[in-house]
Amino acid sequence: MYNTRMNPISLFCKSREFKQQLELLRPRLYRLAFSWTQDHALADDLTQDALAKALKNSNQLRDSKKQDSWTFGILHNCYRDYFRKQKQLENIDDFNLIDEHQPETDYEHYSITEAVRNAVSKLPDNQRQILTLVDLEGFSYADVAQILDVPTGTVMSRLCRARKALASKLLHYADKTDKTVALRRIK
Amino acid sequence: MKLNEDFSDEILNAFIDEQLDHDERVQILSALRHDEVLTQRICDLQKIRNLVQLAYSQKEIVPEHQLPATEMHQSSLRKGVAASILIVTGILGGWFSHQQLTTENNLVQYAQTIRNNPAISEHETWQVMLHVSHNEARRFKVLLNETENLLATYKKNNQPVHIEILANGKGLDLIKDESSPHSIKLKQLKAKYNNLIVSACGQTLQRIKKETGKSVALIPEANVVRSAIYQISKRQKQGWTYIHI
Repeated sequence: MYNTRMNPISLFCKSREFKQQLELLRPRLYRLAFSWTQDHALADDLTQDALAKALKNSNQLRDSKKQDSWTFGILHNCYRDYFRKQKQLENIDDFNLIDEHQPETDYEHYSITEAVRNAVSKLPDNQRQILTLVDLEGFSYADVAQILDVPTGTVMSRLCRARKALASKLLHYADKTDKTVALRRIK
Repeated sequence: MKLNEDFSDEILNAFIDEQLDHDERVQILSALRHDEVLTQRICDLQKIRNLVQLAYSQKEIVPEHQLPATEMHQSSLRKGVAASILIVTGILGGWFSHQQLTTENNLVQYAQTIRNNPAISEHETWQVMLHVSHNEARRFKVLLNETENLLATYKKNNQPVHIEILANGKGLDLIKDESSPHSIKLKQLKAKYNNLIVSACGQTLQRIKKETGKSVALIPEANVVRSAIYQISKRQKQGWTYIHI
């Protein structure tokens, strides 16, 4: 029978500071999740899932100064778990994805924003995660290594490959759209 | 002095990301003064980073419902409850393990606390959303018990109240039409009280259908809303109190 009672006020007895910080992280988590998935609905779910898990496991955070990277680590785990369930996640670090929509061929139909997002979406998953953690969130390489549980050297090499791949598409594209900027081919 | 070819791409990436120590930075900065090719390589990397930041500008990407509560409509903070408790998921598990449920602590008393606020009119309808996203039986039990208790008390006292039960994720089990004790109880409540709304997250339904190829059969009393987040955000703007079970 339904004979139990709850006190909703006592539901909110977690550290206020922790929750406030978590709340401030929400848009950052969402943006990163979107950059990984290119899907607003999935980014919504991943953000909510990460926040819920962060709250549930808040006692596992030993250093409050590390709350940001700790929470982003949870987001990474949620993302990995989601694709593990979907059986879509493969280690494709060196796998060259074919991009049927080359920015330089259809740039007339795309804004530069769309072109960049399109190029980012075509990166191998583990490169995209590192790129966005560094470029969007400004995490240090050491923090990224901790969040994704990979060596710092791996962070550096994957980031390098990610930017190189983007450069091969976007610098050429940018050159076409911005004639005032003279770019010299290096390699 | 080091030349362009002496610097690997990894090092130049680390340079623009400010990950190098002082001496390494000085080496690159010194080389930059005489090496146009090196300058161009660094400019290209910087440009890529700027493009990525531009493409994922937070203002463009993040919808309003994902902004911190303080940045949303201040009016939604009415009654000092709703937005400040937007995220409380997971608390209940720990709470259950530490506190015993008592008759002194329930939603009715909580509602009374809010009504004691002189700023709130005595005749104003209290609107509360109860959100469930997990499928533990004890959560369902508490949710349904409290809902029934609140509806009955308010009806007895002739006070207006609106309750919306919102289920998403695993919490959707509550409103699946599979003759579970919980869904039967919910149907009974819905039949008895017309001020009770039952809502299901449309996103969760879509995802389940995508993953399993099958649609989820819900109790006929349930409405399908666009998404749980959207609905929570909408209700908060309307001044509803939000409680996650």
